[in-house]
Amino acid sequence: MPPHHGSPFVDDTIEGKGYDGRLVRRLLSYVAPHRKLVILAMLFMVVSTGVELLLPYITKQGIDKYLAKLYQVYSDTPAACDELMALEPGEGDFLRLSPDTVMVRKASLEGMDPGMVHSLESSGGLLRDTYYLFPGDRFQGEAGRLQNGTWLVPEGELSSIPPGVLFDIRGDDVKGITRLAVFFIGLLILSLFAGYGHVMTLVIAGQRSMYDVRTALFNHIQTLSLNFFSKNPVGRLVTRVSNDVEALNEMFSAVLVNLVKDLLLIFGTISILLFMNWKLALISLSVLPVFAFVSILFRRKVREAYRRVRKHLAELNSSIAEDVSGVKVVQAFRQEGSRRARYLSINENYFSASMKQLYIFGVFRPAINVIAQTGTALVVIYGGLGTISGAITIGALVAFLSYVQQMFRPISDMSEKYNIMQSAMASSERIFAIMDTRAEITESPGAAPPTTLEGRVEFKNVHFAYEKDTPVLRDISFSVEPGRSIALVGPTGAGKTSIISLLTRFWDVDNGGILLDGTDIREHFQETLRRNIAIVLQDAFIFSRSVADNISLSSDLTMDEIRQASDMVQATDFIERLPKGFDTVMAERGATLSTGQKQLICFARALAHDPRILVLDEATSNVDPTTEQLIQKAIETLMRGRTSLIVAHRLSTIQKCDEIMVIDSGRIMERGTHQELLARRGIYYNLYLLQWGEQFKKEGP
Amino acid sequence: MLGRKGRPKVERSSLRSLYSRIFRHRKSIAAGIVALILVDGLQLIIPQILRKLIDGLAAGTAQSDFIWRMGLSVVAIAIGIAFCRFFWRVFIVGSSMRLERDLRAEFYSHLQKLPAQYYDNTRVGDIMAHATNDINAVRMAAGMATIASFDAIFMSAASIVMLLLIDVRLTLITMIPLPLIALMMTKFGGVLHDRFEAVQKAFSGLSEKAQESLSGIRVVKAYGDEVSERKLFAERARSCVDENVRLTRIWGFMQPLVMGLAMMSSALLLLVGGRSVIGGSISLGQFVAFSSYLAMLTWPMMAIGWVVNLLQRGAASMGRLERIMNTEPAITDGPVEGEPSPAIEVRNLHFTYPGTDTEVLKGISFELPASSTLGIVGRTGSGKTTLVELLMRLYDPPEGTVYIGGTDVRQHRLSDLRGLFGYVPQETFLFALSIAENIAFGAGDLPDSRVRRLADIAGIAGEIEGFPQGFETMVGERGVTLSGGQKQRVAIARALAVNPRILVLDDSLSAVDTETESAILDNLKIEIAGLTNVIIAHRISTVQNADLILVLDRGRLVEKGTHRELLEKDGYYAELYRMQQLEAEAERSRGGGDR
Repeated sequence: MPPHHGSPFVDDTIEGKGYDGRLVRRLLSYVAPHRKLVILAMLFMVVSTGVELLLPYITKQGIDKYLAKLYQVYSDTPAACDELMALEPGEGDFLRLSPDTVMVRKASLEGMDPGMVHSLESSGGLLRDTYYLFPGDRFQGEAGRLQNGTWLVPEGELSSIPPGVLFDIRGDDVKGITRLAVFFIGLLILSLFAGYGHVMTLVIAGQRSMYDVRTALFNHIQTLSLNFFSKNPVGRLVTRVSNDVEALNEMFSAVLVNLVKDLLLIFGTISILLFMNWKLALISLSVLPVFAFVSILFRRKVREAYRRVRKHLAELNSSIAEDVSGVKVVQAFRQEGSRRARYLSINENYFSASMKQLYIFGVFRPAINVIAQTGTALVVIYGGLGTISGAITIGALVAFLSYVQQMFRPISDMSEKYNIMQSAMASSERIFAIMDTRAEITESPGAAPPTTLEGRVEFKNVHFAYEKDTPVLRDISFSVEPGRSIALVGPTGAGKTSIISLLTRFWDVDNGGILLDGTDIREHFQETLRRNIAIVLQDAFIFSRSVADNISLSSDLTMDEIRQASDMVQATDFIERLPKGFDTVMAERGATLSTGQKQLICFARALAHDPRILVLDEATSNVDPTTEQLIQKAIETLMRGRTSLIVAHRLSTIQKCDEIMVIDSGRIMERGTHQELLARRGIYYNLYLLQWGEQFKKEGP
Repeated sequence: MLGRKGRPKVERSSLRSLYSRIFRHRKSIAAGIVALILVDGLQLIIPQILRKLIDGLAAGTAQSDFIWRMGLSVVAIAIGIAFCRFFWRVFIVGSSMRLERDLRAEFYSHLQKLPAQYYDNTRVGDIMAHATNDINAVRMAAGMATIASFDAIFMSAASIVMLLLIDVRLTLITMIPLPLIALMMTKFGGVLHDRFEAVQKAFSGLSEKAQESLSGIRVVKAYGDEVSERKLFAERARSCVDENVRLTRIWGFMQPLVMGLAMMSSALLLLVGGRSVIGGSISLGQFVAFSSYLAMLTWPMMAIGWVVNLLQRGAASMGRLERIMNTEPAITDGPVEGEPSPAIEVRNLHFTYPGTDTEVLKGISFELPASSTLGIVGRTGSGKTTLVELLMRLYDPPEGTVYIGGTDVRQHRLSDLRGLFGYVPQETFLFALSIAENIAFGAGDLPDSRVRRLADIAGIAGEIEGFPQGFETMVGERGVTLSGGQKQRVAIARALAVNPRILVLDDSLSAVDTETESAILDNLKIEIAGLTNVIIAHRISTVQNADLILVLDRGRLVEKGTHRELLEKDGYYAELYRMQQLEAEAERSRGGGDR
């Protein structure tokens, strides 16, 4: 069969909504217990984001306050000058040089009503030329002029003054900028710690939440009925527990929290821009609608392209998997060439789909960038013109430019995060679908408390089907007295294994009932069944735990009890030859043990639990003669004194049972002892000749 | 840097072969790099424009037409950048995709050459991991690492030149923190890699546990072992958490630290550059431009660490792929050309599957002339299938043991040898193709009538025509699921389609009932009359007319002869025959094949 089905390499669909409030709320319920960490993470984030936003502002402050300490000359009538001085915007902003001259600090014009600035300029009172002001007593005549005891140096002539003089005069500015730089470094260190705190708390919160989801999911899967397991291959369930939960984690760490951060950055930046100069802010933001439109268009194209790429990749992978699994057929039929041609054509399709995706990225990404740069250009033009008119300071323009460029990054990031969001939503939908599956086999409300049974088993008109309309058991009725044993024989698919699966309540009957000590098993506490029934399955299942653990499982058996059980099935011999004896941890599925050894451990497991009822599905596999003898003896030991239901394949096992029941097509066809059934010359007789004829011949009937 | 403790051991040769693969696309990559450098160059112009603007504004010389010009050139340059970006993407990333495509093709072609025994010892899952993860890593190394390294080299060189042009002393001072970034990225890269691997390991441990625990759900449920399995699973989940947190302890510190170091340059600029502005040695505009160039240096510094990482992973993956691609196909063509005659001879054949130590065939010898029929009987596990697979060299027999047409099979060209055979394997494997394509699998194009005829011989034509899409019905997931018996019969038709000289039927009718079996066999008898036939069967009736019958038991040839001879011997075969006679009688007495 082609190995497509349930293959982990064939992707689950990536369809789905990007956001589903119901799912997100449900996810958040797993985060809730760790909300303190999340709140802490948010706090850290606010600090680090705040600092990130503050740093360009500090640079602006440095430029305006200390570096560009520029003044413009305003000269008018003394009355007009008095009027201007009365505005008193801030310390050192206006300096009265003479009754008809006021030096106006360039940076302070930004805070004033642009209309008023304009009227000051148009009246001819406010001159454009900018000057640095130094104390008049330091005037040495290298540059500028002296006016009423103040040394005015035009901005362009500053460099002609020796630096030594400048540093001497501008000592306060140097101190100021130094203070600011130290403050800057302090903030940096703060943001470093806040940033680290942010990441750590976030990861811890996310990981713990995912741990909760994961264990809850696993625990829930364990409680589900075998019916669920027969419909969902183990591989798929493992993917749910591992990869799907991981996708949630990715969403949690990469999206949910950064989303908040990005939104904060975007809105923070926009508010600062509006606060600094709302007109310029609106002009620079005018590209946003175009930006949004192109992003949405882009996202749709990308999604289609991505889907095509995934589809071809899935084909590519299943094609490799198929050809590797069927390598013998390919080689025997010399079809290497044709299969290769097929693979290469899929490979080519995958390549061209990838290229198409590349072209889409190649067009849209740069396009989005052009739009963002257009925003910058708008700031350059309107901001530049505003600077000329004095509506905005140079420092403000510099800050504005950096804020605008900063704003577009998180916006374009958001469209990428949408993809992660989408796959996480699909994963969470799959996870919750399992969580919402209810266990079909549940404890009956009026169940009797766990007790020890005598071991009387009775099937009463049992009907059962795994799937509707294909009955597996029809009207099965029989009973086994405590301590008696019964062998179930019959062809493959007759329903033998189903009978024992029902007894252990892996499934529930459709009709009729199964009674243990006269009470329906559905009325028994499940613990009662577990305590009284031990099952040995055909595939001797070994866990990757120690041998002792494999025998005791979750019951608290002492080492002596474990050893005793292993002695009784004669497994101690080989167990002690293992590197660490009973403490040897088994490889996955007990890979290092032989089939026979695994069976013996499973027998020891059953024996150690000392059940009243033994259910054994005998394995058909061939083992070497020595082990075969051990197994036969072990089965005898196990059966002793217990009610036993055995799906038997060994003649020796059958002969040890008190009674034989021949099952065919879901019905009991014959019942009786070995001799009785042979004498009947019916199905059993035929089966017997067919399967054990050789032995029959050797040993005699 | 490579091969140091804590890093994946990357052999020089795998790094070299990674580079040589990248080098195959040198023309396109070179064009992409040119576009990439153009982008970087254009990007450097934008701060220049801004500087000119600020200086103009500060000097009061800026007029509105100047400002407009500046604004429009920002847009023009952005458009130029967009064009070049498009080209480098297509050229460089496109090359990496071409490289991926070629690598996939090569990898696949090599997989096909490897013999069945290779796949006995290699899990399909592992091969798939190579085909996905490793090929991805190589592509990333070829694409992203190439881009990032050239980008980083050019950007840092250009930015540093621009910085130096503004002020040498200031450049040296403000750049102090930057090499620290690169140093950190490479220094912690190894530890980071280890912890990342530990996370991966914890994660696969978790998956394994879930796999085991859910596979054993019956045992778990029957013994009420849920709690301890839960505990074990929770332990694995807990170690996933711990490893992730351990990784974050380093990774989470690096990110802010890199940003912090980059911003530290800005602080130094404010401190030292601010003094220069006050001292008049640089203008305010230069100060602003300086700060932009400095910001441009952050990314290349971070990129260095990233590139090193990508290249290491790519090379490690390349190494793994190469190891597979350098695995010599153990079964290769022999020197003798031409189709051998279909006579089989086996001389004292002992065989042990490679990598195991149980001998599955112990001293088998027989001779089968062309155009005769060989029957093989024996219990499951007696070595029947192994024997026929050795005839076709699906596994290699020891030298001087298996002869076809009088020549050791190892001397034949594989295609000549295998071309003789029509093989119906015991486990039917059909491909996810239509039924018609499956039948014509080994024969290439077959006319519909021939496909129909073959299906008829195999006794499946009627059933196929009953499907809504008839012979075009897809097999597998997206089509019908054929029953075991139906699949077997399709496989018989597939084997006949190649006009074989030797037909091998390995227990090929086990899933059909006795009546259908005998009907099909009657049909077949006419078709296969002139062929050499090798028939493995459980039912004596299937092989009793064979010219030679082998009885195998646990790898030994216990009896050999014609039906008559073997009955006379009154050994195992005769016993088996009598038993099956009895069975047949019993069936008849029960009124036919009603099971």
